[in-house]
Amino acid sequence: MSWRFKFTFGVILLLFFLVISRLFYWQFVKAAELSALGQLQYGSTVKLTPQRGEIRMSDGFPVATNKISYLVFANPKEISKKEETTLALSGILDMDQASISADLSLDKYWVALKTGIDQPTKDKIDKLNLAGIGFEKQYSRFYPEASMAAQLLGFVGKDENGDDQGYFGLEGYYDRLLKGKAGTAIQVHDAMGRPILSKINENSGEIEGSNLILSIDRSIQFLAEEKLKEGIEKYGAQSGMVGVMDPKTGKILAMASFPSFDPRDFQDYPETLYKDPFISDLYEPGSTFKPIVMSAALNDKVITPTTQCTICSGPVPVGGYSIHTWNDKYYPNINMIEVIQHSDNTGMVFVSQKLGLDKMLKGLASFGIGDTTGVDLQGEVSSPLKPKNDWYAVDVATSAFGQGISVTPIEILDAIGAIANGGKRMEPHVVSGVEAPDGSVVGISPRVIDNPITPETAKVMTEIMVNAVNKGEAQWARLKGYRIAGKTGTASIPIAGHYDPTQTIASFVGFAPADNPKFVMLVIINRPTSSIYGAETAAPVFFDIAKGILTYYGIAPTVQE
Amino acid sequence: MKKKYLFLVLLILTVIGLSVLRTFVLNNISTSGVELGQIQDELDTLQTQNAVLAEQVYSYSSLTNISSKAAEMGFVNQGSQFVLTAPVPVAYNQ
Repeated sequence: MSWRFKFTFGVILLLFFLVISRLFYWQFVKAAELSALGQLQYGSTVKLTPQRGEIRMSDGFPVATNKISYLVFANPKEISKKEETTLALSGILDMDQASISADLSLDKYWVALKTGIDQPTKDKIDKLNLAGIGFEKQYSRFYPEASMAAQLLGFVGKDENGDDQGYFGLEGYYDRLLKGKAGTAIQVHDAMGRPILSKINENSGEIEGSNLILSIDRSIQFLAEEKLKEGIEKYGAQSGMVGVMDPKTGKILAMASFPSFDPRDFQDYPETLYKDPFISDLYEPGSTFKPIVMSAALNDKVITPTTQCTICSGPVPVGGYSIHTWNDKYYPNINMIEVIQHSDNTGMVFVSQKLGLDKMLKGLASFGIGDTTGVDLQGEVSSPLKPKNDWYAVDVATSAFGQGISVTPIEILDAIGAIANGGKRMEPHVVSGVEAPDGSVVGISPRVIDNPITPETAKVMTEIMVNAVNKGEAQWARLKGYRIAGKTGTASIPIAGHYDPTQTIASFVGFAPADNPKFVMLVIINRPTSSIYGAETAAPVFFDIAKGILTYYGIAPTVQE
Repeated sequence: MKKKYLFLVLLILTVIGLSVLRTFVLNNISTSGVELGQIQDELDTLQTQNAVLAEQVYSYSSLTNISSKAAEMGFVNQGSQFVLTAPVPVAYNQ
């Protein structure tokens, strides 16, 4: 009897062993595979696309943010009344019936009809209760201030994978920070498609986009754009630009240019408008360059403000060329203060001869001429200064008054900003802080790039420029009651080896209040037709904007006139 | 022997009790997917409403909009301005 008992016991044990080993096989060896199979059957992978970060002005107002929009899709297999549906949708979606009808005739379960639908349109379609029509929520870029600072902001397009990608300006430069990182999550559904309360993959890898806080002052930006537009229309110009910067910190307070584009519909505008000309366009600055060269010469003590020009009684011959003043008026023995006041080209030739090529190149490099400023915008260019051996005497002479040398407007703004800031040249920047997804803000500190001149030289040059405003060609347009330092510019435009005699780039650069500058500004009016002179076009626009800024800052007049 | 059996019985009873409890809890939460779905829908609706309202607030408070509304209402650019206190000179006459 005992052997039967033992035999039965052994068989039962063997069966248990087989069951347990099979359980071990399915629960340990095949666990991963079965889990994946299960997830495929009842779990769906959800791509978590984070919202793109906002771009906010200095007052916290979002100038680029996100809004909810919808993609309207259709399931043609569920739509029995195709004609009715086509008619109803074509009116609301503003699409032609043939296009919708073609989409609804496709042998598919899902067809996209239109993207970017706003909430009111979606509600209208919802009310119709059309079978087979659904919506997918999307986020699209929204610009509450419309085309304000469009070239500064850039725009958001698509990359080769169809994902959002920033191009140009801030959207391009800070694209990685703004877009964040997409993650994935597994969501478990029951047979009816309802979510089951089960643990969703917590570590989705999603990182929200960061927000940018700009140094741009919304009011000053608005003012600059309004006045620039008015100026371009009034003076019949092709285009124009304004840049305003705090010289003490390098913070850009406003940057405007026209013509511009609407970042919401960037595809409707020519690509040439996408780049910001204030940082991407090279031009010959003309007389707005004179304070830079003069400052270098004063700093190197090769001249003083009262040094008299010994070659200014008539046109100056240099290297086979004859250098004239802009109005062919000559002032024998003119001093350096008057050279800037009268914008005397022959006086600047004298300064360049006193300075010499070596010191001039060193001075210009210290002022940042020929190099990028490092502004945090996509697309900045520069035209490097020629090697020393490639300079002829006439090049040295013409460069002294801003011809024969190419710069970007931001180089001039930054260089003049150094004069306004006691000789310290600051790195310009548009972003003053980055707000991380957790709310913490990382500020961007001002950075001194160079010290081209001493504080004493800066003070002297400031007074020379104040005198130029009070007694120079633009005195008719100046703001009474304020000490404003500035310089006009009327630059000829090089075309095919010579200069266009009929068209100019008119400009005015300056800072105010002269004793404690709150802003430095450069206005450029490109090819004005009512008058070619900076004193008659760019200068009035400058003073118009300056008046607005001084009032906005609550700065009272300091001079009784 | 009795103690052994007692321990075994207690073990079996515990296993049965926990199984029953597990069944009870799972049964209760099996339908919470419906609630979860409702909460998610409500959250989605509120987030959408919030986003739409934020969009409207930004549009209305944009300087572009305020400027055009001001022009419609007859506001004009500031003309001349005056300062209540005159600038202080560097030195006074006695």
